[in-house]
Amino acid sequence: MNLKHTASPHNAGFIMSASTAIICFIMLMPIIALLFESLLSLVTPDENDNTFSNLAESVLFEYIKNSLAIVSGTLIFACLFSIAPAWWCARYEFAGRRYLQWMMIFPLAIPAYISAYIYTDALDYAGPIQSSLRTLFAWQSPNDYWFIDIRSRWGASLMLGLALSPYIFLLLRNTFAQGSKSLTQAAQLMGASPRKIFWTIHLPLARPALAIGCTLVAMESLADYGTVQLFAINTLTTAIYDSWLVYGSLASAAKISCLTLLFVITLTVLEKSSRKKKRHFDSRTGKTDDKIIAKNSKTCFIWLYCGLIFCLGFLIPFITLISYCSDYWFENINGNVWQHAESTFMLATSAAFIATLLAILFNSQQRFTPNIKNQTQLSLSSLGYAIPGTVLAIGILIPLGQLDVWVNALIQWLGFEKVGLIFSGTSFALILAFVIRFSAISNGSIQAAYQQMPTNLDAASTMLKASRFKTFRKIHLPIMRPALISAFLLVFIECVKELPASLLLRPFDFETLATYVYQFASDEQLEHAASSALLIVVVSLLPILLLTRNQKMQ
Amino acid sequence: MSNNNHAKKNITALELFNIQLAIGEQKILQALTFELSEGEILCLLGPSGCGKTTALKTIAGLSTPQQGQISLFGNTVFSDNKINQIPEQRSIGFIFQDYALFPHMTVGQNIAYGLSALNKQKKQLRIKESLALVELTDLEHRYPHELSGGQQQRIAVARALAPKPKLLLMDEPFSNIDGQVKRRMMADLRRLLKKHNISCIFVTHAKEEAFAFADKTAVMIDGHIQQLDIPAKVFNQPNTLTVAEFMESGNLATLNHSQQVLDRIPAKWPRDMDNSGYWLFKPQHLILSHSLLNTGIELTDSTYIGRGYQHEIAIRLTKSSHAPTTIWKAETEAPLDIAIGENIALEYAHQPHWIQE
Repeated sequence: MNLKHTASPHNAGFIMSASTAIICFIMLMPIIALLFESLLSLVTPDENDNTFSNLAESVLFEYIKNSLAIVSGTLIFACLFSIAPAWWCARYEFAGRRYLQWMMIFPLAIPAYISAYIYTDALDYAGPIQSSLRTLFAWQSPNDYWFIDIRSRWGASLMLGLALSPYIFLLLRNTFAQGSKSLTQAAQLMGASPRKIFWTIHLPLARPALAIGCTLVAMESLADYGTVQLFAINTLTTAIYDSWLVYGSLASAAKISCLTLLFVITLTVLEKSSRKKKRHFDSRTGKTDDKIIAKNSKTCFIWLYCGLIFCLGFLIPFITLISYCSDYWFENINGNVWQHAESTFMLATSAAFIATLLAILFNSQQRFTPNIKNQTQLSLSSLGYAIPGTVLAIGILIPLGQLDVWVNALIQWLGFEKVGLIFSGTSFALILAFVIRFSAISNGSIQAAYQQMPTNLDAASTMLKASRFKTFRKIHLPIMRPALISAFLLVFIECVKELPASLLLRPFDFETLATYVYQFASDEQLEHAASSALLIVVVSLLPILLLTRNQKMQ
Repeated sequence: MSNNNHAKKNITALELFNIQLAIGEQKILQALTFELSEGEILCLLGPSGCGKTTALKTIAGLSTPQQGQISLFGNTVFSDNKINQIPEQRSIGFIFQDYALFPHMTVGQNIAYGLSALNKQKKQLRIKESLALVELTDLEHRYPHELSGGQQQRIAVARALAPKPKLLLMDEPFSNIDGQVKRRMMADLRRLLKKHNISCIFVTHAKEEAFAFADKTAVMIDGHIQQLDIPAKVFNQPNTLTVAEFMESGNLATLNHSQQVLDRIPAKWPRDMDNSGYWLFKPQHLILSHSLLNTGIELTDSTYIGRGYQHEIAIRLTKSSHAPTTIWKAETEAPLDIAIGENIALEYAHQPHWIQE
């Protein structure tokens, strides 16, 4: 039913509409800038800058191959670590299921590059495992035995797969848990075995969720910078980074960024089309299935399988970080840590605040005046999430750098001293990047809250003579409060964890916790920054605890 | 809400003229025209998707039509897009199908929401009055989720009536309540509206609700009103075939197609009517008797329906045993002494109703 009010040219409405349009344009600026820069350098190539052509002639193909190998490897590992556990947690009742289903999300809290460092350290020639193996079997040199090399494409995939598998786990567990009882019973009555029911009913029904989960994992692994750089694997993201920071070629960075965006677009299109082919129907109707009581042997197997993932993905890195911390106590409590923590939290708070505010703005506008323009703006403002951090950083550097040039020229022309890089060289750039990249998260949270809020509440409020502003303030805001909090927190945490964009955009002499930890990790001294790493892990655990509480309330 | 029930002058509360509303290509309301007198309860009755909820929202100002006029107590609130009063100014109470009680506010706060013009004391007084009206005085501090469906509905009524609206609109107000509770609530609410002389339009797809609650019923099909009259007349004397079919008024026969059927039913009616219409036979007026002759009429089923028995009879359009059949319904108080499958003869004691098409 349409709830359209007559459009009396309302001043406040016009200002709102204009401001969202401008904000939307700013949020799209990086993509526009990248395309513009790439095209510009194609039309008028810089004679002195042949970084991209050099790359293209030599190693670019190798980089693309590496990127694709890591994306597919990560997908395989992530599915291996998530599909079966999701099924067990959703459909079986066994001792400790409640704990296990939260434990499976914990690996999300450990950034992949931290696990990567820790496992490299542990599996090293001089590390504890190889040393004890040598003592045990009396091997003398590396030539005496074969040992796995974690610093490889499959190693990186494993690390990323561990850290990202909870995305698929969460989506699938919810889908499996909502499977309808009548479908299972209908299949049973037609003589299908439990195995057949899984493969022919539940898994196909969960395909949309699986597709979304896999797309998320693929995008995150494509965007990864920390892990691959630590393992010295050259991918598209490291190429972007090197083009700018090593060769100083913004044009080349822009071109590789566009190439990476092409992969992102392909992924999105694949995901959309995989869902379109089979119109997925709502499987949530009717009663949800009862859980099957698992036999003891099954329970043991489930715990072994899932416990291993939990240990590899969370417990081992977490304990290692704690032991680093106690071993290098003095290095870990020096004043820098708190200074970096403070600046990181300030930065993350501002970004989370702005992202939440924008999400409210875009979503409430679409709620009050649902039309194509507002819907498009809402979707466009979420686009940043798909852009890898490195790509986004380059996309932000281009327009902000230009803006700085103009502003300084203007100020000089007015007869004042130059002010320097006030946009591209300050936290402004970083906050902008965070807001653009993570607005999708706050948008999602608030959009979901709005979808659950019947539109009749708005109409009822109107019929009781309330203005839009009153409806928003007295009805929408109080009902959305939990969503606002989770939107803020989720963005905050993502900002704290964010690495590649922070590395590229941080102002001179400025560190976030993530860049600080990463610097030490790449200098093979993570031990000295373990407290900061722990801080990141603990902050990242927050949404998991939040999720636990929400689920309990249901 | 004046109490002088006796001095009923015929004031027009609401007038709709030629309302047209389309969403894209789809026409939702077509030439919707009707009037409502003060204190009258009108039911908009129709199948789902006929536009009745849109009609309510249009009156409330929540939907904007492309054309037409709406006036409330003589004030034009909408006129061909030249005048369009916003919903907040129309002074209309609205009760939603899901009640739309604000979940984060207590009952008292819900009722107070529309009373921002009053000062604190008057507000509190009005809350008490409104709750007394629906006989739920002790629920002021409860939250909506702590109430039963029936209580929620009455709170929705209290909230809508608290600002003393000129007109009350209700969108399927009884659809979420079942059985006996529903019948009692309809009676209570009707008494309340009548006592305070409140004009009301309510929307439903269940004709029983229209019978029990409304003074007048408007049957709405495909976005316009087919018939507006007192419920009994709409049911017994439908003026179009669609109304008769929707109301399930009885058995329909055309002269043209069922001459042979009609010939077999002794009843008095002018058989020289032209062919462009239907005869309506009420099930309760059909008299069934056992027949030894081949009448081409056969009893196919009998079921108990509480107030009596309902019978299904198959009438062959000709007496040939291969002829297509038409199914009629008949009702009797006592069970029939006829076995399923037996031949029967039909009689009709009344004048059937003629529907001119």
